[in-house]
Amino acid sequence: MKNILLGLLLIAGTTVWAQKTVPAIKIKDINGKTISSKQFGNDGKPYVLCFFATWCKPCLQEMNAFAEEYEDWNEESGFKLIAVSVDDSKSNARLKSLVNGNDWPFEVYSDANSNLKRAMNISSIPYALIIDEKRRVVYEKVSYTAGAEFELYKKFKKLINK
Amino acid sequence: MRYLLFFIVFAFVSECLAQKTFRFSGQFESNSQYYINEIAENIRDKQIASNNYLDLLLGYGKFEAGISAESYLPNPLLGYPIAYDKTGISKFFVRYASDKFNLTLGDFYEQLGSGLIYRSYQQREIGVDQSSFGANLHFLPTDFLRFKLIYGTPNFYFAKLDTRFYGFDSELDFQLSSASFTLGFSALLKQEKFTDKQTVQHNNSKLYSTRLSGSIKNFDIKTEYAFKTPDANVENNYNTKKGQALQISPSYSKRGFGINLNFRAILNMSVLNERELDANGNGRRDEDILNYKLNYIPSISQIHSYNIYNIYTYQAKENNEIGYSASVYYKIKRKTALGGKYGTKIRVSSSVFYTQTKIDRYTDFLKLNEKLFNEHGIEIDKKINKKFKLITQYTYQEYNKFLVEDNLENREIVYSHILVGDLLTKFNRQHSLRTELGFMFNKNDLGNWGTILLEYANSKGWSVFVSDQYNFGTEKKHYYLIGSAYSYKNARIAITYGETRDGYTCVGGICKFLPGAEALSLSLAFKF
Repeated sequence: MKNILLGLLLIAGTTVWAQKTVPAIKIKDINGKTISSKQFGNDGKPYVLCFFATWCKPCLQEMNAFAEEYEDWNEESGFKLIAVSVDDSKSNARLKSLVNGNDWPFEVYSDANSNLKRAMNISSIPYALIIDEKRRVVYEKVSYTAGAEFELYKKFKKLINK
Repeated sequence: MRYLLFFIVFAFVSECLAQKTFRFSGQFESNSQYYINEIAENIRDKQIASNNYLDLLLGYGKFEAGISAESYLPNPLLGYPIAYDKTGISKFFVRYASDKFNLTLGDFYEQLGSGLIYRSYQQREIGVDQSSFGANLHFLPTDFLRFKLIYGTPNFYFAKLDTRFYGFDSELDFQLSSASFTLGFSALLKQEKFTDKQTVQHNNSKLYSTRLSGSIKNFDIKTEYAFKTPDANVENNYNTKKGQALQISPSYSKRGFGINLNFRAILNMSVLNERELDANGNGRRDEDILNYKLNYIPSISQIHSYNIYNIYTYQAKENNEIGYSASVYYKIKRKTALGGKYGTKIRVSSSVFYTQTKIDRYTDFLKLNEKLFNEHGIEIDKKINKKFKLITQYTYQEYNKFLVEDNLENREIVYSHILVGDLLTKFNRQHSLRTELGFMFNKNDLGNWGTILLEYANSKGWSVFVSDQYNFGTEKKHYYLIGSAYSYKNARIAITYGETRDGYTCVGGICKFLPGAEALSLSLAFKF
């Protein structure tokens, strides 16, 4: 098996490399409906993808910081955030009531066994990515400190105005 | 297995002919510690310990191949088995994924239902890695019907355990007027030879679960029932009784308001990948108990993020527990008398857990026996103005140390009142200071506790903190920590120095017991 894998990697050695994109992984929306992550989008414009969990304090700080600015940014530049929760069965029963109770205005999905997180090689949360109109990852940012949402928004606006 | 491999190779050649481009990504993570105190030195033969991980993923069209390497040199970190002080390839897989098929050969992680009968997952911060080696097939014939088939052998660090399992899962979505439902059924067969010839036990254990979830306007419900045939192991005193679990989680939410209840009863549901916890006869490894679990039954109590709550962390009793966890979220609208200019968020939470049956009986299901843990709390989250944001919490806790920790010395319930204040001061958009204060009034154990944390951060990703945890009662001891972290794009580096207590370190509510240590810690992570 290991030899076959090495063989496949060798065959792969000579071809063109593509930029990283969002892989197609089955996850659930907040109502429990299964969708593929390749359906993520912002009407052909870039969007921000953010991994979080309901038990992760900096993640909640980041989500609340985005929620405070969301309407203004959306109006100004068409900013869109897609938040992906990696809560498992321990805590995902409270995900929908937390999202609605906090009045978060953005889309939230559930990646309960971290399949999308793992497919994107993300080891720690919070993790934010800017995805361009061709589903390519153009900017990444691990962890959150207060005010980092403005830095991310600057990058987003720069991409929109390109 | 051979046919599946042939299918993968054939499909890969077809993809090559279609001339797609390659995708490559990976991540590296390294956590190291330099131990200063004697206890740590006695456990480890070298003062330096380091856990390192490298994951590589290569994609081509519908194909993906992955390989992971791990290194625990010169020693693994405290809390990890010393026998695995080496470097090697720990995992590899090839995968074909189309809209209807997803086939993985090699090492994989999977979950059937909510995990009551099977879940393998990874949480490297606390050393959990339960990948299995085998085959995993997902088949989605329509957009409302999904199937999974799994076959595998659980991994244990660089080794493979003798257990084999075969699993099946199915899920059907359907609509009844405006309500949407998902019905699921899972089954798993675990095979592990019973080596003790003196007693007649079962080699095979069968696990079943059925679940139904529904969403009707603002109302949601998730239910699951699981049943298992006997699986004698060291955790359940080698009993030969059946096990069952029931979980019911209704919730209601609308903009600005959410309420949820999570009820669960579990009886005799602990299933281990190796019943004697001895890693193929290499000696019992209790410190790695999380890596031996075949199914996933974590505690469903509230997960806390403040240091003061680390003194008593409730761990689920997989063989004997009944209880609930509930929370209410409410946001008082902005520009009202109570909401103020920015609105006010309130969270009320409650968790209650009891045993169901007397120790060693495993017979009473859906009954209340002895109190394990109670916790009731309120949190108010208020943005005062552009500069200040304040979170305050009050929690009342009852903790049965004798039953939760099997602590024979402490037979009385430990009572605690906990107060937390967390003030975020934003000097401007770039610079901020977080001040966290916690106090625990405690009865029947070590006495009162206090915690303090000061953390400066800038918006570019740099932060520095200093914290202390002090016991005012019998210990009268400080546990200082000082540290700094910097994150830039896809990389993060953190350095910490100080002393930690013996106790549970939790990530997302999954807790691992780690011995206390005075250490200098360095962690590095980057993704590419």
